Amino acid sequence: MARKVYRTIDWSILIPALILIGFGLMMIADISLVEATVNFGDKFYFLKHQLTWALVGGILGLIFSFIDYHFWEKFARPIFFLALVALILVFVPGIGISAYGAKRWLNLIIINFQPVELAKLALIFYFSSLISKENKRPLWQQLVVLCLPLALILFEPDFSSAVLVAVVVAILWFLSGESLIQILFLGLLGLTASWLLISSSPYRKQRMLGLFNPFSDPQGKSYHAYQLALTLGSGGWLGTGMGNSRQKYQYLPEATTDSIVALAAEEFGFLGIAVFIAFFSFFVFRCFLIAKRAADPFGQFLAAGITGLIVIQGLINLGATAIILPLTGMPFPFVSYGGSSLITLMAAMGILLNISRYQQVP
Amino acid sequence: MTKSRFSILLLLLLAFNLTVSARFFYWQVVAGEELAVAAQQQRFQFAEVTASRGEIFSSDSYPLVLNKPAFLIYVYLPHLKGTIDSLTDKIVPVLDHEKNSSPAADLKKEIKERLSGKSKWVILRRRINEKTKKEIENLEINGLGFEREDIRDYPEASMAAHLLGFVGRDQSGKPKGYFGLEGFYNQQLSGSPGLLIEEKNVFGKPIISANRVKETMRPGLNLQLYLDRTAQFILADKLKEGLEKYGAKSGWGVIIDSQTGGVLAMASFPNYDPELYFSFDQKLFPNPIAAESFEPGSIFKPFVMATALEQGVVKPETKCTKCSGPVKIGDDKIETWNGQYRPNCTMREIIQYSDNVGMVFVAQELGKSKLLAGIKKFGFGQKTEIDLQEENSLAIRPSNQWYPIDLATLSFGQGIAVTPIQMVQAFNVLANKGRLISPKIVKRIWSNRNSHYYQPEQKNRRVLSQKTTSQMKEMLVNAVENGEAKWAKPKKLIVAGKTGTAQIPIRGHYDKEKTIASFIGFAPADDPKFVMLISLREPSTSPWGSETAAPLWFTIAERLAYYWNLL
Repeated sequence: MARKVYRTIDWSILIPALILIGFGLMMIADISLVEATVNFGDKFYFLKHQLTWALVGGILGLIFSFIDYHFWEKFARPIFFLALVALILVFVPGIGISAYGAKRWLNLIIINFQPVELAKLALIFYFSSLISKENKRPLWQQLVVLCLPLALILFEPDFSSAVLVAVVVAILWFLSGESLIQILFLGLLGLTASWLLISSSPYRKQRMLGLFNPFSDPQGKSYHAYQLALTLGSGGWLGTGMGNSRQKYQYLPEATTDSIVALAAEEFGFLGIAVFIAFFSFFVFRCFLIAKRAADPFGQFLAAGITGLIVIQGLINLGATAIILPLTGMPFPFVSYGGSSLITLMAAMGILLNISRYQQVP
Repeated sequence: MTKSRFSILLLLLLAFNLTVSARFFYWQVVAGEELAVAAQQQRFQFAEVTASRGEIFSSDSYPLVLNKPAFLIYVYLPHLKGTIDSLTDKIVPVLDHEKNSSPAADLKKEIKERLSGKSKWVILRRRINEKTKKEIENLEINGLGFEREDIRDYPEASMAAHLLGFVGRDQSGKPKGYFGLEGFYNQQLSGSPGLLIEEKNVFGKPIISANRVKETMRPGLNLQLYLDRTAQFILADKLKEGLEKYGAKSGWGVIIDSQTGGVLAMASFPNYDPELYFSFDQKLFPNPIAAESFEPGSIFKPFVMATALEQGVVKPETKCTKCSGPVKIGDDKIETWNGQYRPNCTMREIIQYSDNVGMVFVAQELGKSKLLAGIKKFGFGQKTEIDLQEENSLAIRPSNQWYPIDLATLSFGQGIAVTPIQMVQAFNVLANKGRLISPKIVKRIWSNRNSHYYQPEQKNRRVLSQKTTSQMKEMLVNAVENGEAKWAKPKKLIVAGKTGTAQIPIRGHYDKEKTIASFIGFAPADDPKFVMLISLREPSTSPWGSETAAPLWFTIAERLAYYWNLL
């Protein structure tokens, strides 16, 4: 296998990623104006935070882009164990922070850190190394490895992250040539388990019900979905124009995070959102090309896992925005407001860029 | 990594993105319009901006009717903590201070009755002032609330209640003018409310950058009257005094500016307080000057005489050939008021002595059609179009229903019903060189926003020639100068006028004791400034106009003459 070292990184993924971040900052500035003024008395409260995180993520990504990606193969196991420990520590009083009825954060004195973000990357590193080995372990053994962190994430509870992680690992299995029947069986098993989980929690059940008919209870259970429909409808073909969203006046919940694409659809219309989806698809396609052209199997799976992490987040969010998937609280990659997600994704982009330096050109 | 699976994965992602795009297309384009409307409906709120009611000013721009803040107090029963009894016990002593309050016990009963109804939202009291509102607020009773509703303020008290009318509420609870100027000009005074369409955020707070006004509020227009405050005060004051002095049941007085037809003063008693209109008998609301028809009696004679002069059937010096005794018409016999007869008296003397027999002679000389046409030309049988809502006018019977006896009584003002304002309008023809101008109270209508003036239109037409007018005027001056001097006429003031005593028909018969005593006249005769009518209903000291209404007229005229420097 000819190894060709590129001096430069792949600009065709870096620039779209930066455009997505820039677009996100613009939308956050526009949308959060109202909420920031009302809640914090500072018009640019959200923008300032997101900018800070983008800076931190940028530095981290830059560092990672210079670390040979085989580093992650070598340390995949210890990182995986570190992530498991962090996921357990969430439940330790004094270290773990409980908020909004969930235990998702660790108090690291300087910053509050979400172990699940570390776990996402750790799982990708670990599974990429597992499946790229010549004599890889059978699927059921891998499943056991997956189940431990998955259970911890579900226990926080953080359902959407669990789904994300599971789907990303499933993609890696799929690409590694595992038996389709086994994967489909596991998928069905996962769906059944999800359905049981959903029906066990009234909170998730409400969100599910809202999905199937946004008009069933506009003032109650289906409020969010109904407001999403109104937001999209207000956009029409061409949108209301930049800054002219009306649904951002606190009608639409989670305006800067989960619902940011819906507000973009209101301001830029269907044509705008079609361009946005096409642009995102192009970006994802370029990312997968890196996976396809990576120098070795580990690089391929690592790139595919990172791409999967980005694309599955994006699709779950788009699906929820278009009201065909349940509202699980998934931010749109690079665009939505939120430090943990942005920093993790930018760090992952750094790794992806490093892989891109060793691309094989067919 | 298998290449085929890689392609399958990409295809799956593409398919998903296409599905999502199609879904976006559905929400944004297919269902978009409907959803956009629903989105608008949840944020747009329609608010009515109430227009302030126009205010009313005298001719010297002194306010007669203004607005002042008032409140209605309501109780929302589900929020009320204590019992109804404790509420009334607390609140009644405070409400008791109010000007229009009934005795505390009644008030308690009334409030309890209101609260025992089915409604959860009960109006306890309306029109309470700011001070009372504060006192009630200080009681800190849960469940009580206030709503602002401006009411009218009358700085000059009720000196012209009948002229102004009052502001009550229509069925929907909106302010509405009733009677008088408030009723006549209700539309102009009301203005039109603005419609404010506000975009609200989810908490109902307006999105400031997005306020859009659909219809601007137009405040009510203001009225400036011809009304002279001093003249009004003199008239109202003296009329009230006169009512007591002569023991009359009721009375009215009108003074108009001869040249403009503008009403300088107008008063009638008994009247009501427009601020507390609801505590008065509704029968008091209509202004009798425009709404009440009466048989005028002798003050009507000048119009018959003027018509005869105008038609050339008589001259001032023409001698009455049928004046030596009572005149018989069919079975009826017409006599003079005092049983004295003056054979061959002149037309001037007929007016001077108010000779009924002489007037019958004039009417017969004129004939039915000329006489009826003549009095119609003076505006009788038609509304004067004065700006009072309640103006009423009885039509004059068609000519084929007039029999000789009717024409005979008509000549001295019996058997015809006219309104006081018609009398004044017609009499002003004699003062105003033969031209009829319809009387008006409002001089101009103007808005606060721009100095846009509007002047009410007036009828202005010739009724008599200048020659007839001056002949008639001379006869009326003579009647005042040489008539029985039962009144103190200011010496320098030359008045053209006529007394009248009309019997009031009761059950088809005239009662000699029950009369409407009037005096109508204008002054100064050579250059008339004002025309004034004073009438007293059923004066008890004397039934005669010459002994009641006339002296009152001259008392007022003297005061006015000093005030206007007419001497």
